[in-house]
Amino acid sequence: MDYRITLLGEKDHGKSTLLGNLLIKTGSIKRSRINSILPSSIGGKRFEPGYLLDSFKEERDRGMTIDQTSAEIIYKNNLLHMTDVPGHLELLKNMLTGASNASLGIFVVSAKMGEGFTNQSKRHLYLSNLMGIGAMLVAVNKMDMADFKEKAFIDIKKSITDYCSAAGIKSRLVFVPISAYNMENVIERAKNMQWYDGKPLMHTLLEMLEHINPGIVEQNGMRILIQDKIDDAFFGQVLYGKIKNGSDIILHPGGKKVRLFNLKKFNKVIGSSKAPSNIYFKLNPDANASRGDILYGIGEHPSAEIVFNAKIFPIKNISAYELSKSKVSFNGNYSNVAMRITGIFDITKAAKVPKRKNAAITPNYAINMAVKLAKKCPTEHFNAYPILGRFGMYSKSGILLGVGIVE
Amino acid sequence: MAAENNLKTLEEKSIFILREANAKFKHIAALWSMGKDSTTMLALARKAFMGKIPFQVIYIDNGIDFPESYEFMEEMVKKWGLDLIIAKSNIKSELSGFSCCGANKTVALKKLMKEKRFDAIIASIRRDEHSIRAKERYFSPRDTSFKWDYKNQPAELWGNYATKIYDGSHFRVHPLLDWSESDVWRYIKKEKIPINPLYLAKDGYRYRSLGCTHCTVPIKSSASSIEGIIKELKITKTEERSGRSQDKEKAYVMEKLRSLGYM
Repeated sequence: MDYRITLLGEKDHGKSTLLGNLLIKTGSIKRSRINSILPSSIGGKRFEPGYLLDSFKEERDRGMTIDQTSAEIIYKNNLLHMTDVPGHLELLKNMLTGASNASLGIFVVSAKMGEGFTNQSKRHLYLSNLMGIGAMLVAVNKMDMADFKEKAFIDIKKSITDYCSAAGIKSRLVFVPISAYNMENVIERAKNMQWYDGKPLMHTLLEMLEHINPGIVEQNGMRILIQDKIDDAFFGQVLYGKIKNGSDIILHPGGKKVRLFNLKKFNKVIGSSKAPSNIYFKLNPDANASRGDILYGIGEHPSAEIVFNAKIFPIKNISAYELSKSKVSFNGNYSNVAMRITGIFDITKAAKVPKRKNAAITPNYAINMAVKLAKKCPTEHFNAYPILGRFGMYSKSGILLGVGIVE
Repeated sequence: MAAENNLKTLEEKSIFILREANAKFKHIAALWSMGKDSTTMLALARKAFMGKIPFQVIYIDNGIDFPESYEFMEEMVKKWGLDLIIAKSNIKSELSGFSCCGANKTVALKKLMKEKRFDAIIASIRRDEHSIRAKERYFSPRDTSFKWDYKNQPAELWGNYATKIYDGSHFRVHPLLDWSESDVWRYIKKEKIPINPLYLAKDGYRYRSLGCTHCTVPIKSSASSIEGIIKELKITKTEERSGRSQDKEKAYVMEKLRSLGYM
């Protein structure tokens, strides 16, 4: 089986070390690559498995990971696509990219005194939940630095669980104590933590992957997104549900009833296609359908097309005033639509839950706001159809300001 | 090594990216080296666009590719009706590695870009080929001097690929980013994609990776069929590009090449 997993967490908490060591110990990496990071080839410094992934020279010298790196781990007949993302505040933008392509997350948090569940860690957890990662394996790392004490593990577990309740994060969390550097409780059972009666990290991970419960209940409707028009036909994606050749469907925006015919999969004529799938088709009447339009099943319609409530998670500092004055682009359905914020009615701090008006909005906050689009754009509640219910919020000059979901 | 990528999933994603590139950019072209990756990319494009590739195909010719490659090129142009542009470059010296590739292919491509004003170039790089490539995106901007600002990459959100065009610059499109070496060969076998005969063993040697005659070194092999190559890959311990002498220099040389515009 093939799985996509994101490694999240603060810098120095050990994500790269975990991934590097997994690559080596599962035999997923070739000899020549391992040799290139042995102490003799890196100026005699201590061997750091994380170096395997730090493919930029600068990164290595500074001891941090920039941007997204993926690696494949082969474990018990499964192919795990692991994406390591950085944990620095200033690299949050790149982290969003890493989180957005995964289905399960491994959240690495350090049990070492002075590290622990920090604000940056909270932000990662909150954002990844927003991005659609419903289940998280929380790897409580550096247990060796906490003398393998059960209390250190329990304390972190409590902080994280309490935070999730307060912040409304419904992701399924499974906690595993490890030491990534020593590979303690990663592949083999913990030797130094007899008090732990769960399974090692990789075993737990596979179990979770087999029972992925994203925490998002998807509906049974059909949604086809039009990607492009070529001559008199269309390229599109079946995002949800199933389409049969010759079916009547509704085109939004507009609500016009049309018939889909000449359904093809690449160059082959087909009778039907199920999500997820890239298709080719024609419409009768053509109804001037274009990129960004969505085809719905009969009797179905968008949750909202112009006005809706959204929750925004900024990725950089902005003042509430700036935010309410900026025109931003709604990019959720391959369409860029200007968006105006018509009201900010709640600012929720990702760390606690009190409301604060007129505050400078930093990436620690989530904002509940009312939004109006410049033109009709079919959207859905994020909890029902996540692909059509989430968007990037951009400034006029195209800088990503934050991500949002349609509530 | 039993687990393998799902070819159908990879194919869907690559086709989506190719269709997206065609939808978002006005004037695109694809780089073709006659190698297995770029030929696979063309096969995917044929599938994506219902049998006919809607963009031009660029071959950068420094005059010293293998004769088998030139023959293969002519065959494929005929077979797939390729709209081929040959950009000629000159080898300045007998040097190999960094100086040669830097002077050659990049210069020829820049000249062509200036002339034809392509706003996006499809390149068939894969993340697993080299650790530097692991940082690439499906849509990756290049500025006017072909520099790649790897520290400041645009965010890719849920498939909403960044494609804001800046004046005079272009984008690189990478539809094969998620494919492994083994995936490419399995797909070639499944789809019966024609390949450059140099990949198959002759007299106990074959080429695992193809560059020009000055920089490519063959490996010992008895794999004379695609099935044989796939089997051989499963047990091999060396990396794909170990026969390419430019890679034997420091790791960050690749980074330098990339940020200067070399694919």
